[in-house]
Amino acid sequence: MSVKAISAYPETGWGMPFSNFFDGSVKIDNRAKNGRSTKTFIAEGLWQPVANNMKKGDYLIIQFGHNDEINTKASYTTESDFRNNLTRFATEAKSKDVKPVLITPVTRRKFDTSGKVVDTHIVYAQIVRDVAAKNNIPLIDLDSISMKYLQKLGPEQSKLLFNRLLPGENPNYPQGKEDDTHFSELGARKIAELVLAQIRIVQPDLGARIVKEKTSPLNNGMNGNEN
Amino acid sequence: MKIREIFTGSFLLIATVLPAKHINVYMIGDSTMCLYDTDRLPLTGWGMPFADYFDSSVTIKDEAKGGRSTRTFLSENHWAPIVDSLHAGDYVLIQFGHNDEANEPQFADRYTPLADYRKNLVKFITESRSKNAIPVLITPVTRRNFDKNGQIKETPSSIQSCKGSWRFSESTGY
Repeated sequence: MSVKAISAYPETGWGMPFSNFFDGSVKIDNRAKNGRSTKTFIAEGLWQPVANNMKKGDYLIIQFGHNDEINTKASYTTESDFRNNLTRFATEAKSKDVKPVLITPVTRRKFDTSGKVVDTHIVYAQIVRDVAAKNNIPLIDLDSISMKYLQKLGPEQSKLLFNRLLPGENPNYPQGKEDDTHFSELGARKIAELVLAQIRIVQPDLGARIVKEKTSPLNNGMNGNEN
Repeated sequence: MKIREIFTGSFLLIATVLPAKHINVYMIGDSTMCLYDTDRLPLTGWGMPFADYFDSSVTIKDEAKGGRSTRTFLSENHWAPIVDSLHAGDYVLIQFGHNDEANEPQFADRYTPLADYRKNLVKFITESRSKNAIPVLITPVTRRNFDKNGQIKETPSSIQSCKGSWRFSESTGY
């Protein structure tokens, strides 16, 4: 979800293209950080400024899980702490009349031998769903939605969504890269599109601020002919 | 003697920490290369991500314009200001052809006959060189056009355009 350093390109967080599809009345302030779990996001003091800055009428889009659920990582967050931390983010938002949206962790690219997408977030995605249901918070089940999308693409085509590079292909990764978690520009944009479609459903007031097709002669007349 | 040694030493030190000379890389071409405003996204010219992969000694100036052929890029006066601002050591990346080769009636506004295409490319090259800038010719990037067997097809007139750029680059050593 995070904004990447230029030196990490073409790795792209889905929050990057996401921010390009709102009208001038919306400012996207992407505070997501690579490698962070709910636990480390709080411990490193990343949450408190968000809590301090958010104002009535703002939205708070929350997506964690990738780094919470791995029990060998320093960022590991127990299931009950994950539940508590998500609840904390959402309730603190609500207490300031900020509208939270909970998002289940976006899928990794993992297929079984029969070509079926494997859910790598079973337990932690369910916690997000439970927190949303229990606290009546709008939910985007991105885990399920993105899994369906990857299933449609299949094991080969879905590689294009991720930061997978051959040696020598990209100056930032001279040794190449086989990343099945972090997205390419294309993957980030496709995931952003999936989230935007859900925003229209779960937060229609925000959905109404998604950009509309321009009707200027520039866009209409072109039909792909302006080479 | 001692002073001279110190002076020489300082000079060498300064010489080694001087950063590489700053240069500009101008990009001239069509919609496949140009910048797009955010309200056109996800439409993206290849010049946009290209600019992210140079160190701070390079400024990429993507002056490519959608819909332009070599002829209209010149007639709309996009080229002359670039020549004026070129410095020795700058680069000029030149990629045209998609609009030059469009000889259907509806594209008469951009079509450039092959002889003019060649002449215009020569103009970009010679005027770049006259400012001691370094031109780089790029053949037009492919369209997504496959035949029934799944074999990639070269857009027929692209072949002409490519050969136009090629022959020129051969004859001039570029």
